[in-house]
Amino acid sequence: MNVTILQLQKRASYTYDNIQDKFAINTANKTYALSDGTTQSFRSEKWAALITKSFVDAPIFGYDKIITTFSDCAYQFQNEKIGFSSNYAIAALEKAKMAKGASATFLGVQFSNKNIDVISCGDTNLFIIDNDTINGFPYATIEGLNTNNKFINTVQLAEKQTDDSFFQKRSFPISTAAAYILATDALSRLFLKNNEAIQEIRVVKNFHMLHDFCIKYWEKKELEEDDISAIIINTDNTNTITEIIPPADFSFPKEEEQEFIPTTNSNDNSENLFTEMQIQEIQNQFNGVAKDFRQVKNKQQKIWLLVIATTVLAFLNLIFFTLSIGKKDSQENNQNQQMQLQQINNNQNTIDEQKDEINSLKNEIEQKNVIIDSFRNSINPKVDAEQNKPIQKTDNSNKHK
Amino acid sequence: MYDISNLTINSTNPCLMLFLLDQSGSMSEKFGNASHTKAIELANAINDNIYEIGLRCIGNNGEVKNRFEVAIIGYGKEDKVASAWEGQLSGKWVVSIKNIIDYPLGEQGGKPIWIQPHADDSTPMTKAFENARNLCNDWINWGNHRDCHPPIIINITDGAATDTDNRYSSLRNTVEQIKQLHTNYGNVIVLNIHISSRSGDRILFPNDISNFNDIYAKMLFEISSPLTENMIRLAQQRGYGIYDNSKGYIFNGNAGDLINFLNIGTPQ
Repeated sequence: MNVTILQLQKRASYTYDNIQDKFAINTANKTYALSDGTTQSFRSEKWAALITKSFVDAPIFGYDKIITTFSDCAYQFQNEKIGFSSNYAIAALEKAKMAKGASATFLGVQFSNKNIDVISCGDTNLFIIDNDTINGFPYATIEGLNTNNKFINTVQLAEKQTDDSFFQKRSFPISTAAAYILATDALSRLFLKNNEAIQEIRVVKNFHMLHDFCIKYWEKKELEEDDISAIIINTDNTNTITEIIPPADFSFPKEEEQEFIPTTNSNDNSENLFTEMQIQEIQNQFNGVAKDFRQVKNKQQKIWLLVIATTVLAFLNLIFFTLSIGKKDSQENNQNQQMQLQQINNNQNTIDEQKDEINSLKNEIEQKNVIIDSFRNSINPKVDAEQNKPIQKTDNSNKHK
Repeated sequence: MYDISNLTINSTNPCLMLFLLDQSGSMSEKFGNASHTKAIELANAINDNIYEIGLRCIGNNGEVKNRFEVAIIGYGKEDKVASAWEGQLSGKWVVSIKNIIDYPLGEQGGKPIWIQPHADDSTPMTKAFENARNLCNDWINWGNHRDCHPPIIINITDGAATDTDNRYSSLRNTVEQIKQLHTNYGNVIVLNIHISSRSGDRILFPNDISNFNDIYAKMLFEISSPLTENMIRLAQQRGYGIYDNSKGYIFNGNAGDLINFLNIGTPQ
């Protein structure tokens, strides 16, 4: 058998390791399985890998047995230890998501000598292309595919809420001229709308061609932006398996994360709505004014500091000067006072000396007067007596006047 | 060839969810038969919605994919219409789900919360829709958003707008203008969640409410967009009893289920 596996992750997943579609093949028992882990369920890619591997290891087509096998897988899945985010909001979401379990579609096929046995749950579809005829199973139309609401879910399995109605199975006779394509939902939807797309994908030989195929239909909006997976099986005599998947260094570009900022709304009831450019301009101007204001304020602060420092220095100088002058003055005053005291003392001494001299002169005069009197008396005692009378007479006349 | 049935909401093609929250004084009244107020019911509804969106965006290894951008506009608090984000997100208009999950306001009953109840002043609902119109228009014309799912506006209110006339003419006109905005995948969708003081069963996306004797309910039902064909298909596929001509009106419920009507990759 010639088997080609094609896979490309959705652009929003960036790299192949984020793809949630999983496949498993077992060439020994000619068994192939494809599963689409649902985007929103908890660790669905692990769940998808678990059930596909389980199936190809031991293919089962009975409803009860496959439910039992998948229930064992669910038990294994639920017993894995899980770590939660340290952000409590994220942790709350993770726990809520975990409580809902993991979901995946499932499509398993096994080739025998004459037949191909198929068992399915969900919207992963099998296409049988035989000459110009294309048959889809379990869905032959988009409307049918869109009505699917069944998935293999871990919690439902654990609670025994999964029953026969979840599965569809059928056997088809093998045609050596036919090609068999297992495809997940996005690709299935495209194939059901556009048969030419089936022929196109059958000739894809390498990753470059697969990439171009997906981009073309994504851009034309005919293919849903989802993980793309297909297993193409040709029942010829060859025995080849080709995996066409993204190379290790391939990734879709990450979209530039730009925060959307409305241009017309404001946080009040203002009727004057500004354009983004005007708001930007106002912000720039405001920032400029704020910058200038800060500069002026800084400058003013520096000037104030300078003025204060100068004033303080001047004041200190004044105090020092005053103190030093005061000290000098008191010293001088003391000196002056001492000098004045000295001078006073000197003067006092001089006065005393003068007084003494005056007294000595007075004594001398008195002594001389005594000598003179004694001399006069010795020369003319009558004159003395006479001279004494007129003197008295004069005194009386003066009295009358 | 823009076919919304082929469109998956993802981090390359995100969807804008815009919530309008009635934070007016009438929200302090009791909600239905419950013991709590309508404001608390509203806060619960919005927090549940954000949580549900978060659940649809969390990938393996705790990585949150930016599949949604969320705006929350509050109206009534201090008579204003303003961004209702609180805490570290306060003042922002549109926030990616990754940032929302990174910055919850707190925790309540084991679940993160982002919005607290408020009930003040008037109900400038028309003004809120005008804000929503501007925001949607800006969002659609930004980057590759024309190639994204059209924005979804979810108005959560008790219905008593105070900035319009008795016939709600200006409110209706504004909502009609919003419904004309579109991306390549369709027109902006307007949903209304009616949180009422009246007791009654939850009603999800009805196609007829003629038996309702409530002017607010009728007005909100009338201005709500019909659910798109794709939403109805996904809802029916996921087991909801949704009719072909159902409208985006919910009575005394929340829009947590709405997220199941969007194609965000395979659910479950």
